[in-house]
Amino acid sequence: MSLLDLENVHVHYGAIHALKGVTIAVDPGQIVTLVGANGAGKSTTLRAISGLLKCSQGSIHFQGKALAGCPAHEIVRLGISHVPEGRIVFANLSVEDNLELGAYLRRDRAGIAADRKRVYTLFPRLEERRRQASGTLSGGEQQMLAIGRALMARPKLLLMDEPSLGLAPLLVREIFRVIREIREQGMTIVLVEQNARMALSVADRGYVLETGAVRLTDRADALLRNPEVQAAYLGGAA
Amino acid sequence: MQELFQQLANGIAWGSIYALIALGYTMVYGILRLINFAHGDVYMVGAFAAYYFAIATGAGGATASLPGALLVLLGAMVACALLGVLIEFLAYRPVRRSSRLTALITAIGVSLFLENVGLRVFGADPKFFPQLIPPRRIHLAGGVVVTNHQVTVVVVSILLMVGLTLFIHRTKTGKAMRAVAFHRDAASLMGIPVNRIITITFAIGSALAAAAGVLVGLTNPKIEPLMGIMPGIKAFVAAVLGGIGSIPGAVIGGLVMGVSEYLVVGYLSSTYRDAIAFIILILVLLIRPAGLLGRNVAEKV
Repeated sequence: MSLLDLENVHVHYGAIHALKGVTIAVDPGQIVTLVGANGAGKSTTLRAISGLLKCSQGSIHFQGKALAGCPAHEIVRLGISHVPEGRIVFANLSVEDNLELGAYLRRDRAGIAADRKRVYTLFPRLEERRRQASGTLSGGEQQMLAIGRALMARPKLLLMDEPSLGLAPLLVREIFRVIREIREQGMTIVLVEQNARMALSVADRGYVLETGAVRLTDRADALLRNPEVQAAYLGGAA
Repeated sequence: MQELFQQLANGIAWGSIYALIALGYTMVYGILRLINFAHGDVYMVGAFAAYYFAIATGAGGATASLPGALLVLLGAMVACALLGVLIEFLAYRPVRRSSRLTALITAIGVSLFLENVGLRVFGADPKFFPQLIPPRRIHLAGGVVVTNHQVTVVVVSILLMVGLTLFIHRTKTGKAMRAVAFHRDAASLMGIPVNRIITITFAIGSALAAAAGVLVGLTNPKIEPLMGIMPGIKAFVAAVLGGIGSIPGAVIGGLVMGVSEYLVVGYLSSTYRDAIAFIILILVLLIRPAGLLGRNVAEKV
């Protein structure tokens, strides 16, 4: 059985029909990436999983449990953390306070301290700046903080929305290195990316979304070689 | 010089009351982007709650005692915290997803409702607030005279503000409150129960307004159901002056407002006392709409 199952999910924003029957399965330990143009419904899919948006039809199951109707903060408790698009670190709070809020639902002080240490090992820059207001961090550092903050909930599934957006190439590579490292530690990840080539190269499986529906799905390496995908999303043959 | 210091002392005491009310405006605005126009009326209810508590417990007049006064203060704060929670739940939560104009009109409606219920229940005639602490004059250096009531107002306000600041910055709930104020969806992705945080915000803001109501009963012991209108508006201006959404801003705004009022009273004419609030509002909106400590954090990529 899959860890996460989306079955024929529809989402409406008022009159706009943003998702038109999306079906996605994510197996434990995998990185699954959603690629597609702007407005294809990638972020909407993530927001539906994490409970920020309500599905108008269809079902989402996580570890066999239906998520429909769960408020976002309950879904975090079930083990899904969402790194939102645009990072959205709490700019007026320090780095350390941001991490503390990531662990908001946890009560195990020792475990929280150990996980904070893990995050600082993953991102040494954050430890140097732990007392700084997070709004003063650079864009790349804010992205690291947003990822670290999501890890502090000790999730089973990590949703990442455009983690490389607006970052310099060197930082993009750094972020992808971390994504691989987190996966090696056993995390399941759903990754949404504009940078389809990078995303498909770390992923196990890819879904190509077009105007709110899954256009095709395959193993990530097969999608990378698919001429249609190359033409539409990878800027021609590699 | 003595006149100046005297008016400063009066202004600081009065400004502390504005500051306490302004804190509630700014906290609710910070978290909901809603101007809670009923907030001044919560302050009025706080004064009346204290009035009835004091009569019921015999905490006023000849039997006044410090524990009795504290009990009355605490009772009024709890009563208004509950009122604030109720207002949010019954009036504001149903319109949370509507436009801001809808919420604003709802707030004005709640304000009118509380005032008219007040007129009905408490009566339109002013009531004399029982003396919780026997009055005493204190002579300071330079011929400045203050009352022990004014000192109490300032001390209690400072304690409450320090307590609030510690709560907001040191506790997990306080940090969650700031996170919700910054970005509601991002906060809920941390597992923060946003509705509960909003409830807590209303409870705290309303309790502070109640404290202001009790303190004002101490220094100006005539209370009536419409007493919240003017201080409500002035505290709102104080919050805007300080930068709405900013907690230190609300405190500074309240003090500036109180001091300016007393300077106008002392050096111009008490006729213009109420006008100064609106002059300040106009000046802030013209010169520095974000307020003294208004947030202006640039987004980075």
